[in-house]
Amino acid sequence: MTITMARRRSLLVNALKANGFALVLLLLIAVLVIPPVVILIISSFASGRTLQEGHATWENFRGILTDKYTYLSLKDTAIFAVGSSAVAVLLATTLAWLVERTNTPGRKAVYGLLIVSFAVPTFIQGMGWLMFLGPGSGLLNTMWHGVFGGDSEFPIYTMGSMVFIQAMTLLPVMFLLIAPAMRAADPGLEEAAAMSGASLAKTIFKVTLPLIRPALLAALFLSFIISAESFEVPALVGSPAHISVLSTEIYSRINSGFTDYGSASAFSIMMMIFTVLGLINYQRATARSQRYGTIRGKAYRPTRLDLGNWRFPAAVFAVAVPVLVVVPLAMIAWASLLKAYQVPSLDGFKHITTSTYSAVLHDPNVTDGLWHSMVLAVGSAVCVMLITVIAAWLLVRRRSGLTRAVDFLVTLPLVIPAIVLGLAVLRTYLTVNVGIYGTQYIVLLALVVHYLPYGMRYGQAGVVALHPELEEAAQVAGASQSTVLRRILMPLMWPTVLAGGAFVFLATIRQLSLVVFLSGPGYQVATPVMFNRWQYGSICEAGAFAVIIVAMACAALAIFSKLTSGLAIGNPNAQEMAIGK
Amino acid sequence: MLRIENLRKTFSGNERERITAVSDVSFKVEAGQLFTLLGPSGCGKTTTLRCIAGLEHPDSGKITIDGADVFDDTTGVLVPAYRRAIGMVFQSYAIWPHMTVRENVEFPLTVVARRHRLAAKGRTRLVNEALELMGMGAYAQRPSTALSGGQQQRLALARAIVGKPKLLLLDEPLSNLDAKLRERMRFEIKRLQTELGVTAIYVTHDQGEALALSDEIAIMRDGVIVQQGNPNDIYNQPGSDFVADFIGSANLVFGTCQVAGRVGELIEVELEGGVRASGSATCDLAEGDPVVLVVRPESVKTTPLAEGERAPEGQLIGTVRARIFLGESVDLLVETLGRELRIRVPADSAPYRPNSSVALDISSRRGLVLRDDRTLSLSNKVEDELGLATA
Ligand SMILES: Nc1ncnc2c1ncn2[C@@H]1O[C@H](COP(=O)(O)OP(=O)(O)O)[C@@H](O)[C@H]1O
Ligand SMILES: [Mg+2]
Repeated sequence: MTITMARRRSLLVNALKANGFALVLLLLIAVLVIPPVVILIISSFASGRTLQEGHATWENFRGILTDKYTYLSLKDTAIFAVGSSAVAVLLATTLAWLVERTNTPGRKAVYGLLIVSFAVPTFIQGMGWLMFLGPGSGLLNTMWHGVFGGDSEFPIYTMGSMVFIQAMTLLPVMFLLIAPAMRAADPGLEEAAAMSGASLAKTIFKVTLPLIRPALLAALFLSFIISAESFEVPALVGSPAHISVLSTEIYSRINSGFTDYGSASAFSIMMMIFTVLGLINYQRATARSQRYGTIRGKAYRPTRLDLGNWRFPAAVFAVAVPVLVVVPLAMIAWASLLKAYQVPSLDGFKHITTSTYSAVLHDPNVTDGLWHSMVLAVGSAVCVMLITVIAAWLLVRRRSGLTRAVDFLVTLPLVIPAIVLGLAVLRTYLTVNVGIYGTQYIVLLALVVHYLPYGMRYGQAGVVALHPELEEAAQVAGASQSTVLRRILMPLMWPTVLAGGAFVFLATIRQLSLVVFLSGPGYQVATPVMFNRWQYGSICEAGAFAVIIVAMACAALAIFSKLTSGLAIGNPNAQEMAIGK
Repeated sequence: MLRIENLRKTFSGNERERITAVSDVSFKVEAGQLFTLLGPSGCGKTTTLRCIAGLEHPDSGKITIDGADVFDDTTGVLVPAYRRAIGMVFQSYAIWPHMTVRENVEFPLTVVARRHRLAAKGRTRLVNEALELMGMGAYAQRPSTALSGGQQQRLALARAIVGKPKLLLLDEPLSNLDAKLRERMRFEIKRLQTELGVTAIYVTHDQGEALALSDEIAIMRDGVIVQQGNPNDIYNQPGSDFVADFIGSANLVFGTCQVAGRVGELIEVELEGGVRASGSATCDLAEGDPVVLVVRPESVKTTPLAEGERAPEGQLIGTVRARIFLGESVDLLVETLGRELRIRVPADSAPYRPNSSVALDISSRRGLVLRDDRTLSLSNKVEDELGLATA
């Protein structure tokens, strides 16, 4: 009798010891992730400006579902997402094929240019494109007028250019996703087809493309999700053109004279449905591409297709596309060196000055914003990796119902578009007053929640790569759990933590849509400040600001890739996740 | 020194059912002995060893190390691995790649409870001793990633013994080495164990290793110990066809008992082909019982037959299928009674050409007679595992 009591108690103590840590972690993550989701759903069914005074209603959904503009923006979201992902994947595939499978010259340049553009926030790329193509003062239009006269203009504020600009911002990520698959596909199969008399076109369409189909599908769905959620290009190009997509619809319902949380929340729910659909398909496609992945890995000598005289046009194309990706950067650098914007010209060089930089750097809004962005980037990288490395270890080493719940909660934010999460977090801490509204902590919280799933992918890959016997050997040698953690796990996991942290750091610096609602007079963040400058027409200041941010991002990228010997940028996960978010 | 009673460990499988890795294992190991757990892969050897180390939490049973209970489900005692003061060599070696050779070996000394911890000088002396003992003194400053397989193995051993544990656990320590090195390390481990006088539990699926090294062998199968004894007994007195099959490259021939007999008596057996043979009974047998005659390769007398010649009365006739040169002797695979027997002949005996006929005399009385309590699937499994029937 006493024995069974003692036994029961000790079993309980052991169970608590084993699971207590997982329980604490589960609670922490639940507190971070669940309230915004719940409040968002409640908000979509609540009337009134605050949740306290509102009551349950279908009005929000009824309102947006009976509004014909809703269907227009749904349709535009679909066109925008489908169009830009199709163009991006088409260009990326062509480029990857030329670079990886043919003897087109200039391959190194392509990689170099694309990796540079990788460090540039999407919003800045969009600004550059507008300067390049924009009406009146755009470089292209000016050149057109200069050569041909007249006043016909390149129509920049249209769905077509929105799709094009978005596709150009997607191109680097998609290229880096498709190129490895292109490289790995066995050229023997292509040669076999060519031997049997198939023409080049036939070989490409009947052999090469089917071989990399899973990778193409994955790239397609991923760019679809990114575009459907994206805010930057729709806000820059779509808004002046009066084309609204779901993200800008949500933005304008919050940032207009009359803040309507109810209908913005209802829109958010619709947007999440888009994301979930895309994600399901994406996961199917990647599962399939991993299955294909096990077939290759056979050693072979890569042979390249000889394009003959077509080599030179191919080279022009291969280098022109990535150069186009970098063009906007040049435009921004130009603008940043002027006091008042003018189209690049020889005459313009006379007006070059650094006074915009000094003006910008003396503006407390800008310097605060930059400083805060740095602090937030470090903070979110540290918090995310701390939580996810522990969660990943528990999930891999101590699989149980509890750790699976942790996994679910950590992955949940993946289905919440950044702008929706920003809104949900804002609404949550307006309603539940814990004193973080309007401070840096609310921004940090949103960033941590948003990047949890990405950190988790790094963490899991890191733990899986460690043989469990490395830890067990230390235990048997006499090391307690905390000593194993300190002396064995942390040193061995460090490269993973660094790579994951670098990713979160860079992504935070680029982030706009997530923080656009959360940054404000109380706590300024760099990208929204820049966005405001642009919106109010201070193009040169916005440009100088953008150059500083890009320089910071590039410096960070260089430092991290030095520290991790290229892990941060060499990691395909990182590439596919970098995603202009 | 070590006592295990009714140890049981199950794992949750994929579905609702649980996998029983160790169902009921009890054994005792005297101080200074090298005790081997031998059995086919998946029989629960590693799980048993991990329970002793404290890396698995058993479902029930009792484990006592050096007089102290480290696990007892009735009292709820469960001493964590890091307080059990044992040395262990893992199958993967588990060398820490972020440390040098010296740091790897020193680690156990730096993490013991503070009151037992030595000063730096004492630690250095112990580390040097352990490295010298394993012939690794010259490699102390190397990064541990720059070692060959054999050196990693020595490093793992040095690390396991540096703290002078009373109990040393080794999980298939030689399985990752090439054949030549394996042979040598076998003797090194034995030397190390006797020199240090440490009690060792050795896990392997290689019967040669087990026979060469052990003071005591326990043969495991499906989570239980089917026979335990010293190598001589296990080799000469296998208690079942499973053990007989597993322990040596013995031939199993099926037949029926002709005259009842008791344990140890010489029993006459009629084999499948109608030929008679005899061997000593390992259990009481009645007339007509199905039995297995265990015939060792070296106890079959063979004579070459000319083309068309018949075997002498009372002998089997067979066809040579393969000839394996082993140096001092030659192994023949001879097909007879629809199966292949392995037969050892001196290397200088008459040349047996493949596909020639031979007469086999298996009546030598040196065989063992076991009761044939196999189920069909079981005997097939044993044969598959050993590759006897199809070798
Ligand atoms: N962690 C585990 N989870 C589930 N099943 C396990 C686990 N460890 C071992 N097993 C199962 O228990 C059985 C015995 O395994 P093991 O002790 O490793 O065998 P051996 O070392 O004799 O080859 C096997 O069927 C194995 O699949
Ligand atoms: Mg094993």
